[in-house]
Amino acid sequence: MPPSAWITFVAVSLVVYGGFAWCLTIALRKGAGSENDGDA
Amino acid sequence: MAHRDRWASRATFLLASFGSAIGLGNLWRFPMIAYDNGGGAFLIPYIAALLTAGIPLMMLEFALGQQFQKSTPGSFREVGRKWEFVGWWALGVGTIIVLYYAVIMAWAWDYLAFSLREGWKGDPQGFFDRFLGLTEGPGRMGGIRWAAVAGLALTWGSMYWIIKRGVFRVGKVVLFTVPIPIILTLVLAIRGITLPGAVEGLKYYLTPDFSALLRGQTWLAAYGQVFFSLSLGFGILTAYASYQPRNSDITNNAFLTSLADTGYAYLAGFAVFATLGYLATAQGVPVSEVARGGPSLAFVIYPTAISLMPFAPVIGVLFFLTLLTLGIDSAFSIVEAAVAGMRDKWKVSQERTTAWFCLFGFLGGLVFTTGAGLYWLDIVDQWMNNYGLVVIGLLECVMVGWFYGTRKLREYINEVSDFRVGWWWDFFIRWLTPAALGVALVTTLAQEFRAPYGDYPTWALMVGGWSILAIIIVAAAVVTSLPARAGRKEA
Repeated sequence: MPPSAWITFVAVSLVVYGGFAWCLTIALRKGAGSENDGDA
Repeated sequence: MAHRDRWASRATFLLASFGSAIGLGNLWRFPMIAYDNGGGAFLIPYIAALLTAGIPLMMLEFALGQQFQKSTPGSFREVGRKWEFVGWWALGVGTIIVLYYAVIMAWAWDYLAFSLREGWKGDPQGFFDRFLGLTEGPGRMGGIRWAAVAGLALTWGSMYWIIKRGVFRVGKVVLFTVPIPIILTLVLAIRGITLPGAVEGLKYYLTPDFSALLRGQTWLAAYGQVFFSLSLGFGILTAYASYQPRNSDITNNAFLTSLADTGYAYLAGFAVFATLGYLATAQGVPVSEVARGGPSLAFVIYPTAISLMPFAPVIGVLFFLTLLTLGIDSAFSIVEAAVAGMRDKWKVSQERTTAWFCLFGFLGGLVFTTGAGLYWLDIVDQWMNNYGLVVIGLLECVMVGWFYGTRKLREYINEVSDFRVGWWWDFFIRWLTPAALGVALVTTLAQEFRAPYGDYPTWALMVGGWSILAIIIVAAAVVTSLPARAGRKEA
């Protein structure tokens, strides 16, 4: 594959999967898996 | 206040939202749109569209449902009485879309069964001729195809079983229907990449053509794909968010859902283009000759490639199982949004309303199981997406941006969310997103006036396009004018 295709592959993977992992980390820190028990 | 159903946890809500957003379009539309619009360079306008329109609009839909604790028409009514109409319009468009979406799933059920005995082997083109019995045009119906009817019954039966217990059962089903297609697509991508010729296909997918970024069409395609892919304008996300407690996060949930949707679409591109590269190499033709999207990709091109592989029946089962699990949670999210709208307004039973809706869906979908069904599916799809959903998205922006007040909704969003949004959100909702949707709408309309869509006869476009849109608008107006029923909901 040409280098431009490799660069695209790495850059898009970092933005999309890295972005998702970062958001997920924040959510987990706030307890994304905890049960919903109504309004505050 | 009457008791409202709740998702078991934030994770369950997120899985349901992922399931709704990630659908067949991620597999058969995104990779082809990327290929047609600059390959790897398309990801630049796509991510820009995601940040400036997709995520802001998703936050808006989540925020309305979660703040008002009502499904789409009820939440919109809280903004102003006349806006309830837009909510019913959204549910009406979703209802028509699920009629044909269920038929595509019916084909996937049939092809799953064929996979067990390699039913397509040697004749993948038989999809159009023998399986669909495709006629010469939309005017010749050609009779009902019973295999598709059986698949359709199975699809609506599954959806009834899932939805009849509301979000309680949906929450359990998405534990399987969301991870399964992701894992299977990963398996298909790895299988594809290890085949001879795969690199040729991946070159087409990833090599950037930056000159495409100078074309307005590329940016329109990116905004269109983001909008359709994220389940915006259906009323689903508002209904789903209404089952979250009022103090739940909004911004991070919108980012997670949008990135999960994009991440899956990007992954699907590897499975699709690696396989196309293999097929092109095996047939000794350029990849551009086998690169097609939509049903042709899923039911003709991919089965052709699979039939050339070792262990074809196994790969075939995996592929059609991927299609089914991808489609089912998108389809039942539309049904749940519609049923929630009716439950909120008339306090009707979840189970009975779901049963009637599924029966209507099955009967309404029969027209797409005829020999002319694919033509009608194509026409209805064009009108529902480009005129139905786009106008709803536009009206949502106007409703919040110019009537309810973006600042008021932003303050609520910031109060409950993991991270805060600034003035930019107001700008996107008031100006940028409606401008992008407005340009998309005008461009499609101009194209329609220049040349009728798909070279179909004008009467067919009037019946399958404009008439259905008009019926939805009239039905939405009638439903809005009907009085709501007070009191507690039945179980």
